[in-house]
Formats: sequence, structure tokens, C-alpha cells
Amino acid sequence: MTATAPVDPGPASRFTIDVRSIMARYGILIAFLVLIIGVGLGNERFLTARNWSNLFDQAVPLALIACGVTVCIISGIFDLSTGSMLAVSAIVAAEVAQTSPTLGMVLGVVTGCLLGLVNAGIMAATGVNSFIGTLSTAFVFRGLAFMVTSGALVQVSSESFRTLGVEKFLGLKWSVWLFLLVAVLLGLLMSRTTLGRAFYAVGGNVEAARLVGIRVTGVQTMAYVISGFCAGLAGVVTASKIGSASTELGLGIELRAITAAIVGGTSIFGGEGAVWRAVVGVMFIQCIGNAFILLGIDSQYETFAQGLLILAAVALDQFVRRSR
Amino acid sequence: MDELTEEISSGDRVGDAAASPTVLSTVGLTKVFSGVRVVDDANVTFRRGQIHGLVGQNGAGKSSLVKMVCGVYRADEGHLAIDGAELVFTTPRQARDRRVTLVAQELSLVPALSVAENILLGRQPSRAGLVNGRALRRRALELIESFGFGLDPDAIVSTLAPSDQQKVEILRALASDAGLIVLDEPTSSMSIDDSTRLYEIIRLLADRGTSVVLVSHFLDEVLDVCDVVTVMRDGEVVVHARPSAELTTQEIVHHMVGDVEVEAGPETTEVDRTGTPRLKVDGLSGNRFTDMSVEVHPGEIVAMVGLVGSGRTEFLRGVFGVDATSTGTIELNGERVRFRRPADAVKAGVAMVTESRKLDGIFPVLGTSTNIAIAQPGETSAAGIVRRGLLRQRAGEAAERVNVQAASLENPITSLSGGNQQKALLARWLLSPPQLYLIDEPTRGVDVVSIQQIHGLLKRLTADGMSVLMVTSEFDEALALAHRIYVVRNGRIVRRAEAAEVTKPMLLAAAFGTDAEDDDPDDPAPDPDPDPDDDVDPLVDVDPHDHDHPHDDEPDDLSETAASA
Repeated sequence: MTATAPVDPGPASRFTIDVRSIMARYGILIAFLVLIIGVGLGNERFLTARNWSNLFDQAVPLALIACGVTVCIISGIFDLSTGSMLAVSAIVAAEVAQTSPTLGMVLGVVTGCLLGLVNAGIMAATGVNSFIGTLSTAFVFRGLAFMVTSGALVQVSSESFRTLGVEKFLGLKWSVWLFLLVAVLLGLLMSRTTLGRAFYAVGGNVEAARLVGIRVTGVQTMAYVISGFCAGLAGVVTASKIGSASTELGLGIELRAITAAIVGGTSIFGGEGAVWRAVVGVMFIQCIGNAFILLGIDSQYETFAQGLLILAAVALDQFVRRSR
Repeated sequence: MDELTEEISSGDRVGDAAASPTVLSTVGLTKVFSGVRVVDDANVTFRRGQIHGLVGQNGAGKSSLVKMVCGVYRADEGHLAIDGAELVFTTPRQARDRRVTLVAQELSLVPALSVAENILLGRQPSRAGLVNGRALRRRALELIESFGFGLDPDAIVSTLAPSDQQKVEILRALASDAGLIVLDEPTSSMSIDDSTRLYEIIRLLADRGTSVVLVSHFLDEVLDVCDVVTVMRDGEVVVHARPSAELTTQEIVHHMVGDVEVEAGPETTEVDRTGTPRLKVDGLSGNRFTDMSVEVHPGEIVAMVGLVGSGRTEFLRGVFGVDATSTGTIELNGERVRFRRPADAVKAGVAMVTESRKLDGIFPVLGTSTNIAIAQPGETSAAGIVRRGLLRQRAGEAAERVNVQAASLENPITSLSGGNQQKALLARWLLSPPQLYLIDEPTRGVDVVSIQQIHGLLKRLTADGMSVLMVTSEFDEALALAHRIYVVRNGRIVRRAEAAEVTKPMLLAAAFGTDAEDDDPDDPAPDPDPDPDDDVDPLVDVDPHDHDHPHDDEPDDLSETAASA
């Protein structure tokens, strides 16, 4: 009882801790695999390259935003303006693409980054909580899109602009390759760089982060800009895919992206999570929708069932974490 | 259970208090934290209508003891005896059901609700689930008035000053009709008037039959107010319920410190103070500290001692750039600096470890090695890319230097014991030792063996030229480690001394304010007003520049006061 505290939990308890921590860490992957196998057994078309190529293709804008939003959540920030940033970026890209397709894509992404910077600036200057702050800028940005377009659809005629969202390379759309590249780079940024560590630190304990010499505002600014970058890219991809842009694009995508990130296992409280989790979360939700179609279940139950499954995934995650 | 208060005694208090019936007694109560018995076999009896003072040094176990009595901590050994029943409380709720209430140091109010609602929280007069607002206000007002507190029942708690919030907290405990009320440092944030009023109320309560336990650092007040005094030292009860009339503050301090001979300073290396000081702070004022001047030379360990809440932590935070400071200058190696944020201080070669591990120390979900390496990312990365192998290796080395015991450094830091977390935090800056290390309570919650290791580490580091400025509430630690000691009281430095030339009783006396005849030891938290002298010497106000003058002659200053640079 005295002197030194025992540190070694002993072999027996260590084993159970390991099983638990594996479940806690990779539970969502296991649930995802179970879903894939289950649906795959139910319908042979599910596990085909074509189906998955489509699934990915449809998922790209949401997945991009989910990755960016994951960086924010890990840093302790909510970005609810991603849907609006997507719309503004898509409109800018479509407008400019009429003169120069390449410049349109670049400026679309740049627009997203700038809007992210605006978010960061507003939060830093006013000290407003990110949740309510980005909720407001979401309206401002979308309102901006209305003012620019007067609500009209912006058509893109350029063939080369549409390559990204239409043409395939090695069986996958260019947009999917682009997304995979971004996801890998962001994943490496988060797990392998000092900036990545700083995101986790700021989200894990903002006061401690400040005291070890991390420039908290700077780090949070980077998170907002990354989220803007991802939303901008998602806007460009969307415009390229459908050949037009409008103020209605990306409505509600911000909440779906956050849902996907959380389903994937990123902690809503910040400081914990990973980019790959966002990808898994997005695909998990996509597969549920896909399963409804392939298994021929009446689609009027889809939303209901989707909600329940997400709830189950998150509750399970919470249960495993608590018992840790 | 009503018997505790129903027979309200007429006039037989102080004298007969010792003979009055027992309300609650602790039997062999013990609490162990990471292997340290912070409370060891405590047997204390609390009697009806008695005000029971509980004193001891920081970390003597007073708070842990009362927390077990009030169900905040669960006792590891022993139990409570109430009305012949043997009990161990596991939640505050259970204690409250037995009419035992704690008024904690940390406030537990609902900031957005009114004073009245907070006072009667959980027992609002209601009908069919609807709160009867008028009855609530009336009952709260009755309570406020019966104790003479000048509080507006409709005021929102978040708008109140800390001392008024403390009053709300106390009124809530009073509203619960408790048989035993524990007040943990109730006056630390109160003005003299308010604390006098509080003591009158406590007297009133005791006369009505309530048993009151008062945990306090202000020994004079304890002797004034309490019927009996219990002294704790190193987790043990060394004086039990001695009538306060038989005690003096000097005796209490003696019991708090024990018979230990003041150890001759260990092989501390000589410090050369002829060169440019590593850190020179001149007349720094800020939140809760005023006109503090401190010097630390290369290779020197300087300790700031004093009571909790005396302003030492705030001073460190001011130097490190965490909080803004108002006046005064800081020089690092002879160069004027002002750190606007901790990042600036870190860049200049200054590091800091805070006293509150959980609050602003650890990153709970990150691994221990990441927690260690995070402060000096340049040491374990190249061009912004973390080199994981190097990180593991360097963090492992640093952890070994302070002897962190962990099953694996890759597990979350929260899997370590508190003492090992503390060591990991000290290791945080050791990948590349800083020039100046600011440490707030270096050994809080650390077991005896680790304390020795940490002390050894700090000595080795300073032998290599590093400077340490530490805040400690352990006077022994200051005497064992430091070359020079500053005593801080009420946001001011009241004494500066070479560690070799002072003894623990001298330091304690300075910290408690018992060494100054005309001084008021119970003077509340320092006035934010940067010029507290204006009522003493009106001439000071003639020239506004004098506000910043470090050489104001304060009548209550001691001769050793470090007003000079």
C-alpha cells in the first residue's frame, strides 16, 4: 500500500484491456466489414468493381468535406459553413471556367481557402464560439452566392472543365483519384507532422497547448483553411460533375460530413480522431443507402434506418470507450 | 435525526462544548493516493454546537479528511461513526442525507441562475412541478436577512464578486439545515468585513446546535473563532480537539511543522551572483500580485513560498506571458523582454510547468511520449515531419531521466498515476533543457521516492547552468532545494532570504503573517487596485508616476522586504 504504486496491470487484465482497446480503436472498421459482408451476401452486385466505383464517385464531395471537417473537429472546432463554401466555390469555378477551365478550378479551390481564412479571422477577432460563428457565416456565404448569381444557374460548357468529374482513369473517376490523394496527404499531415500534432494538442487541451508554446490561433486558422480548401475542392468537383453550379449546392452537407466523421470514430470533444475515420464513416453511410437499393427495400424506410444505424454506431462506440 | 438540532441549547456553549454529544467521528480514516497515505488513521470527533478548527500545512491531509467526511472522497480504510452507525460515504448525496454538508473551496454554483435559485437549488418550493417563484424568493430573502448578508436575491450569480458567490455557497449549505457543516477555506476570497460577518454566523450556527468544521490557514482567526483545534501533519492527526484557549499561533505552527530539525542545506552548489542575472523581474504587477521583484542567476534555484492563493502562481503566469501584466519590467540575460504569449517565452528559452496537471498540463488522449515531445517539436522532427522513431527514443530518454514508470509510453498519459504524470510533465522540457525553468509545485501529488528523484534532477540541471524559479507550498522543499527563497503573502513579496540562513518556522511565520506585529494576516485577496497605499500616504497620489515607483516606503514592510532590485 505504501511507497510505489503498482504500474503493471498484470497479464490477465492486460489481455482484456488489449481486446477492449482494439474494439475501441477499430470497432467502426469491424462494423463496416460486417455491413459489407452482410450486404454482399444479400446481393452479388454489391461487391462489384462497378458498384464501388460508383459509390466512391458519389461520395467524393461529402468525403472531401468530411476529411476537412475532421481536421477541425480534432482541433476542437466546428465548421458548419462547408456547404455554403462549396456552393460559392462551385459558382466561382463555373463562372471563371467559361473563359479558362484550369483557372476556374484553381480559383474555385482558392475561394474555398479564402472563405476558410475569413472564418478563422472572424473567430479570432471576435472570440465567438466556432459552432455559432460558422453557423452565421454559412448564411453570409450562401447569401453572397445569391447576390453574385441572382439565384440563376451557372452553366459550364467547357469539356476540359468537366474531365475531373466525368472522365475515368484506371476504372475510377479523376475526382476519386484526386480525393484519395487529398485524403492521403491530409492523413499524413495529421499523423506525421508537427502541425498535425499541434491540431491534436489544441483540441485535446487548449490551455496546455498554449502553455507549451503552440500558437493556438495560428493552428486553428490552419484548420479553418484546410476545411475551406476541402469544401472548395468539393465545389469544383460538384460543378465539374454536373456541368453547372447554383446557390442550392451543398445544402445540408455540413451536418452529413460531421456525422460521417463522428461515425468514423473521431471524438466530438476534440483531440482524438483520424482522417481515415472520416473516409470510413462516409463509406459506411453510403453503403447503407446503397444496400437499400440493391436489397430492394422500400426507400421510404431509408432515412429512418440510416438514422438508427448511425445512432447504433455512435452508441456502440461510446459504450466501448466508457468501458475502457 | 432531528435530535441533532431540536434541543437548542440556551446558553451553554463554549465551556460545555467539549462535553456535548458527538455528532460524527472518524475512526481510523485513511486515504491513499498513488501509494501515499495522504490521510493516515485519522480519529477525530466532531461535537454538537462546537466550532472545530482544522489546520495544517498544504498537503497535510486536511482537505482529504473533510472530503471523506462529506462523501467527496471514499475512504480507503476506516469509517465514520454517526449515531452509533458505521458508515462510509461514497457520494456527497449520502453525506447530505445524513445532514453533513461541505462548503468547498471550489464554488459549485449555477452561474446563470439568480441568488435565490442557487441558495434553494434542489429544494425549490414547488407545486405540481412548477417552481413557486415568489415563495422561493421569500425564503431565500429570509435566509439572507437572518444572516445579515447584503445580497440581492434576484441578482444573477455570474455577475457577483467571488466573495459574494462564496456567501451564496454558504447560504445554500445553511438552507439545507445541516447538522455538520464543513467550511473549507471559506474566507480566502473574502474581505475582512465579510469574514467577520461569516464568523458571527458560524457562531450563531454553533449556538443553535450545529457542528461546524473550519479548515483555514489563518491561524489567528482559527484561534479566535474555534472552540477546539485539530492539527494535522503529513496525513496524521498530531493534535486532536485541543481547546483553543490552551493554544497560541506559535504552538500551532510548531505542531504543524513537527520536531524535525531544520536540515542543513544539502550539497547545494555555490551560485555566482556577480554576472548578469538570467531573470530579473522588477516591480511586476498583475492580476492578484503587486510590485514583485525577483532575481534568478544562472545555475540558481529560487523558490517562492507562501500560502495557496497568495499570488505566486499568478506571478509565474505573468512572467511566462500567459496572463497580461500591468506594470514592471522583465529582463532575460540583461535584455528587456515582454512575452505576449507563452510561445514567445518558449522561443526565448523559458519553459513552464503548471500546478494543475489536468487543467492545463496534460493532453489526456495523447500518448505519454507525445505528451513529452510536444513542447519541443524541433527536437523530434525534420522539416515539420515527425520522426517517430526519434520521438520515441528521445521521449523515452527524457522519461528515464525523471524515472517515469509506465507500462508503455505509447499509452495515453491518463493511464499513468498522478505522480508519474507529474514526472512526465517535468520531462516535457528536457529534450533540450531550457535556460530558465518556471515550475509551479514541482512535486505535488508525488510520492516520497519520486520527490527525491525530482529534486536530484533539478540540482543536476542547475549544475549544468540552467536556472529554476519554482513555486512551492512545501517549505521543506524550498529549504532543501533553493539557494534563495522569497516569501509571498497577499500578492506581495514580504521576505527574501538565503535558504541557508532561514528556518522553516521563520518562513511559516512570514507566510502566515504572524511575524509582523501591526500587520493584518487576514487581509483578504490583494486589491486589484495597483496603488493600495493611497490611504496610508496621500502624498503618493500627488505625482501619478509614483504609482510605478518600486521604492514606495510601505509602513508595514519588513526590513528584509525585497523592494530593492
